[in-house]
Amino acid sequence: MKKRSEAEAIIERADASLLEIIDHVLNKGVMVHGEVILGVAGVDLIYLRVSALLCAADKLLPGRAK
Amino acid sequence: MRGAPAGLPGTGKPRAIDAGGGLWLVAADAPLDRYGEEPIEKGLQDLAWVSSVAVPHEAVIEHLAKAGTVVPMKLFTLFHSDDRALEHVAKQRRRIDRLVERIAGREEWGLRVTLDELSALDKARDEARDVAGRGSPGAAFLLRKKKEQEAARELLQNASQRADALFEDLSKKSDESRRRPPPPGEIGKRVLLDAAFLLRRGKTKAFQAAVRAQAKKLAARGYQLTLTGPWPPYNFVVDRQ
Repeated sequence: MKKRSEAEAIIERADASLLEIIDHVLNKGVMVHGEVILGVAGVDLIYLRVSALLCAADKLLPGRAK
Repeated sequence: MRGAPAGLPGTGKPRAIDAGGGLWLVAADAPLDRYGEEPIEKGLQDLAWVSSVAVPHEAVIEHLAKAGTVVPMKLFTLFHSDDRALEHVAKQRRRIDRLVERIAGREEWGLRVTLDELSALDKARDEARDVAGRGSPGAAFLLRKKKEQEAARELLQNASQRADALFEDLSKKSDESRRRPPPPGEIGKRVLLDAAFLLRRGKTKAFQAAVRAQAKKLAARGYQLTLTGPWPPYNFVVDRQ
């Protein structure tokens, strides 16, 4: 990953980290339609964990997902 | 669906199901022994597993977005059968048609604003000290203490006001915006704003420039702005809560 200067730190283009992807696709709103075959108890938990990690995502996952 | 990514591990290949009127559902068969309630509940405890399904999900959506407007479903949107899925879509059709109109040709950008509380606090105290620097030594000391306390108290209040103002300003520069409850940050790094903006594709430069300008301005005060995108409009397909 390129070294981030103060001004550069601002915008990360399409090279979103893995955790950003998880945050977007999961995003607390796991929905099940039709038959309810999935409880959502675990979702809040994982969402909280992901959110907490997101702030430190770059440090945790220096490699890019895409 | 030729050339589409393979989809989630263990599922069938993504297929297109005709919902009529130019609308297609893209679905893959998910075996219950891997994507039933229990395996998913168990999998959600494991970030590596979540990654292994989140990335292919996103890949399919991004692939399809190249060819047309996609209403991105959340991960694990499961239906009992194709018929159930079509039934659901038929019921929601008016809403979906409106939605497609709103998001056509647009993409989502995410902005997160964090505040380094410790360095911001230091800075606020320094400023307070400068203000209190004049007058007799005894009076200056007391004044300084008072100012320091005030600065600390005001810091968080100012921070949330700044985040509000920033969101409002950027909202005006976007077609639509959504604010999400801020996730918990690292210790000492408060997340002040977690927002999504819907922008017309190819018209994102001005928005980026505005974010960059704000970021420069706020960086000196300990704020960090992170813009990510473009995303499929995940945050704009759900009804406002």
